Amino acid sequence: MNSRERVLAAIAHKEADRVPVDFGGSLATSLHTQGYAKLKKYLNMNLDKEIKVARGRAQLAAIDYDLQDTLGVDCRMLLVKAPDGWINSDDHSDILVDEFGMEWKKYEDIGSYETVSSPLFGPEVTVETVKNMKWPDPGDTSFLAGAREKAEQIRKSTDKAIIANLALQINTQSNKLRGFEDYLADMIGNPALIESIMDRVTELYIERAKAILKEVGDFVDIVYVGDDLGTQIGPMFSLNTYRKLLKPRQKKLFEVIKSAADVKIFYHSCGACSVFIDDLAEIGIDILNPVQVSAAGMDTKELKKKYGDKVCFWGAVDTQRVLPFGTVAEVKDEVKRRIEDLAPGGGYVCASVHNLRPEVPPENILAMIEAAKEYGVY
Amino acid sequence: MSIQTVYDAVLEFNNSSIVAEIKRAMAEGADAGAVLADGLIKAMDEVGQRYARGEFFVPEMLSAARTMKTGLDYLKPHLAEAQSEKEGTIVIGTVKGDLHDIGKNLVAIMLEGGGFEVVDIGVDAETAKFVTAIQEQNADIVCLSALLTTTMGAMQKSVQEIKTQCPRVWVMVGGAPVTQEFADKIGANGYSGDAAGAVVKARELLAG
Repeated sequence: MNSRERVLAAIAHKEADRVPVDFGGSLATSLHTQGYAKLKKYLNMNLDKEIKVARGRAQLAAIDYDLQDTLGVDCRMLLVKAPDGWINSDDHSDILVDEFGMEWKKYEDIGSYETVSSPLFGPEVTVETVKNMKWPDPGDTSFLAGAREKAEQIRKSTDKAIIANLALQINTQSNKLRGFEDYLADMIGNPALIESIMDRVTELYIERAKAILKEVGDFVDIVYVGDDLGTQIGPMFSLNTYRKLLKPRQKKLFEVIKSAADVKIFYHSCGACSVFIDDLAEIGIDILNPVQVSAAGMDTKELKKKYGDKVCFWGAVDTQRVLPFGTVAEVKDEVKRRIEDLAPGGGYVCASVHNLRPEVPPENILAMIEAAKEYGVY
Repeated sequence: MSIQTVYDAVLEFNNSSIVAEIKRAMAEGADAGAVLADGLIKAMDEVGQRYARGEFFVPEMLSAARTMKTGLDYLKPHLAEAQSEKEGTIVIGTVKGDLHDIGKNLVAIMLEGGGFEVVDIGVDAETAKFVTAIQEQNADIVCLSALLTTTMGAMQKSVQEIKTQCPRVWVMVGGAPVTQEFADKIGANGYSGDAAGAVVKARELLAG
């Protein structure tokens, strides 16, 4: 059984030879460039190779294929080039401007970028402002250059499952544009404004999904999309708010993805998001990531019992305490526990809950992968 | 029952009518202190309880808090006349290395809604900034927030330094990765997992 078959079996809720392992296959299962530098040094591998950045604003590393092969992980990341005008991964300027006209400032000691301005920040913004803002052209396909060749090359060079990392976050992009606090308040106080922003973002992302999947759809197994719905202590908003504002738009996008290619939908939402799982499954997600086990209501035993037949869980190895602060033995116990909870009958891909911060010791990263392979044998 | 309509406006997130409701209540003879206590603060207590019961979420809490704040801004000059008693003064900020502020802002506005004087020193705040603010404001409580797992270390250092330099201030901590266990370990006096609980905890600390 090869990696791809192993991953597809898990998604189809079947037990493979072992639980598949992901490290560096998606925009939410990788690590910070500084952490990657430490890992390479620890492994004494690829020290002469420059670290590629998968996502500039989070300083997320694109893990080298040979290192993934050495570790025996089961997934590959396919990244489509950012549209012109979006943050360039190689650009290390202090202020970057994205395609929506938002400015991102680099915070050196934190090692990431945060938005500092947007055309839709502030109390005066109305539906008219949204209409008159300069939006990215949905017909722009500049980002497709080389995508098909790259996807084909990855497909031919590996038997790993390939994840097209499209992101296409309707909720996250809309809240970035409006500013998180105003966005949340407007969901109640001025929903028409939020809907007008979401509509433009959805329209743009639907065109992008169509264009990208037309190019690479036949070479990929999984499409990564995401929209955070949870916080540490509870859902970001009520299920009613989700159903009214976000769900119909996500449904349209997921329908487009599924009709454009034979792919599984990998849905990423941080935080306490268990109340949304039934609705997400209904609109077509196959995989739920990252299963933030430290958030409220995200107990893996309970999740498996309630939703195990609806979604494949992907992630769940704790990044808030165990991976950064735990011992190697604690990491192994954590992996064992998550596999026991989530893997019976298939439906689990083992990975860290989200990207690892620079402080996570290389020993713990390797222990996670080793333990997944050791305890994951069916 | 004119104060009741002020209370209702907060719970219905009626930001555009709250000032009119307060004016009407006061024209009918309610004093500013009563409008604050039985209208705004009582309503925010109810908001906290509805949040705790899972009936309100962050958007509802924010909308209510903003409505309360609009009312409070109008009421403030009148309160000075009425010599309304403050619950206490609180300095709040996000610790060094952390830029996240929604949770912190929500705690600040709930504390304000709970009748406290709140001084917000912003994000990425050095320990010295906390200490200066505590001393200048003669604060009763200081609240430190951290969202990143990796800034919990900065929180620990700040708490230790604040305890040394300002021994009579109560220290409260919160934020996504922070737990009661961590709060105890670093010697904080109070912890809350959410904004509504922070108001309850602050009142407990000052009640002794």
